Parts: sequence; C-alpha cells; structure tokens
Amino acid sequence: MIEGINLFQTMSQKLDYLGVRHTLLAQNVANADTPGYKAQDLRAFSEALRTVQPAGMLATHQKHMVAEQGNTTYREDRRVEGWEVEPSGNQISLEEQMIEAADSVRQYQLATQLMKKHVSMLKATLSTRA
Amino acid sequence: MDPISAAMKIASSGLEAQSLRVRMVSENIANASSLGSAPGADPYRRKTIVFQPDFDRNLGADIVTVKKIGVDPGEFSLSYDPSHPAANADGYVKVPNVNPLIEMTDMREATRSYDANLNLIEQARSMATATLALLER
Repeated sequence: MIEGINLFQTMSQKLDYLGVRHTLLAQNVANADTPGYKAQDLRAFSEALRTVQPAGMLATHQKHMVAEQGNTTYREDRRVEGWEVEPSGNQISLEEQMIEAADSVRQYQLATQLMKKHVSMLKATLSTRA
Repeated sequence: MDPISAAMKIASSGLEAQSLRVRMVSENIANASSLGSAPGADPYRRKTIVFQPDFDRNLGADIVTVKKIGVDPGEFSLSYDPSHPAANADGYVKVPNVNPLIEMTDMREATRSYDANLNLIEQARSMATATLALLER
C-alpha cells in the first residue's frame, strides 16, 4: 500500500509537469510569428525534476509583492531544435508544436485515468468485508 | 497562477495578436485602390505589423504583443490616367503598393496561427476537465 501512496505523488508531479509543459507550448504557439523567437520545451519527465529549487524572496509584509518566477520546478531542454527556421529567425513550426501539445494532452489523460483506477482499487480494498 | 490557466491566457494573447493582423490585412485590401486627390499626391501606403514576445510578470511566461504597426516603404507603381485628379504633369497616377496575393497569403497564415492558438485553449480546457473528473465517483 505504501507504494500506492507513492504513486499518487508521482502522478501529481506528472500532471504538474504536463501543465507546465503545456504553458511552454502555448508560449511557442502564441509567438509562432514573432521574429527571432526560439522554441522552448522541458526535458523528458524522467530527468526534468529538479531536486533543489531556487529560493525566491519572502513576502513578510502585506504590501510586499511576490514576483512570479515562472517554471522553477522542471529543467528546461536547452537543446530544442525546431523542424525549420524561418527567414525572420523564428524557429517555431506550428505542426511540430501541435503534435507535442496533442501528445502531452494524451499523457495527461492517461495519468488522470490511472489515478482514478487507483482510487477505485483502494476503494475495493476498503469495502471488502471479512 | 496554475500552469493550465496560464496556458489559456498566453494562447488568448496569440488570438488577439493574430486578429489584429487580420484587421491590418483587411485594411490593406480595402484600401488597395485608394488613390491621392491632389496632383502627384501619394496614395494609400501598405501597413505592416510586427510581433514581439513580452514577459508577463503575473504569468511568469512570454505572451505575444504587437511591437509596431509600420508602413511598407516599397515604391508605388504608376498607371496612366490623365483625367484623374491625382495625375501628375505626365498624366500618371501613383497606385498603392498593396499586392492582393501577398495580403491573401498573410491572411491565410494569420488564420492558421489563430486556429493553432484556439486548439491550445481547447486542449488546456480538456486537461482541466480531466482533472475535475478525478472528483467524480
């Protein structure tokens, strides 16, 4: 059962990872016609998790504003090479981005379905009468 | 802000930018034959639009904004029409530097990018729905 609880943790990390990745893909697609824009992506999930997170400033007063730092949890892939580079220096191919996005949605649905199944397994265990 | 709503906000900035681009295209096409009124006067000059990434501090991500709406410095071509009020001494009228073929291509590209942004919003929404479905029995 301990492994089961662990699975929940990994799954929610995976969901978070896919959410952050989707933000980056949205960023790429929104800037698909911006001159000189480079595509961004995360590394594969297995090597993306940062063990040490960079520390931000603490808000110790109600008037302090906390700056959103964006993604600080997952390592970015610095070697992204798009399918093509336009003459304007834009590196984003819409087809490629749409394939990546569809893939991450599929993985997201897989993860949520697995989580549901796992909950129903736990329920089945709990409802067994001796 | 959670990444899924951030993705939606970013994609909507893309929708906004692309629709402004379509607006520029229609402005160019509508004025494709707007000539000057005084002798030798310049006709309508084609407008161009340039995008730039803009780091949004609330989202912690790059959204897209319009950098500038400029004009195409390309030369006007001349057409012979001595009776037109804008005709110069030799009887030539300057016509706008709008090429309908370029405008239509630009519009197709803008529509394609608009659709891509729309798709991303749709996908972000399906991810949010999948998360909410975890609450179901």
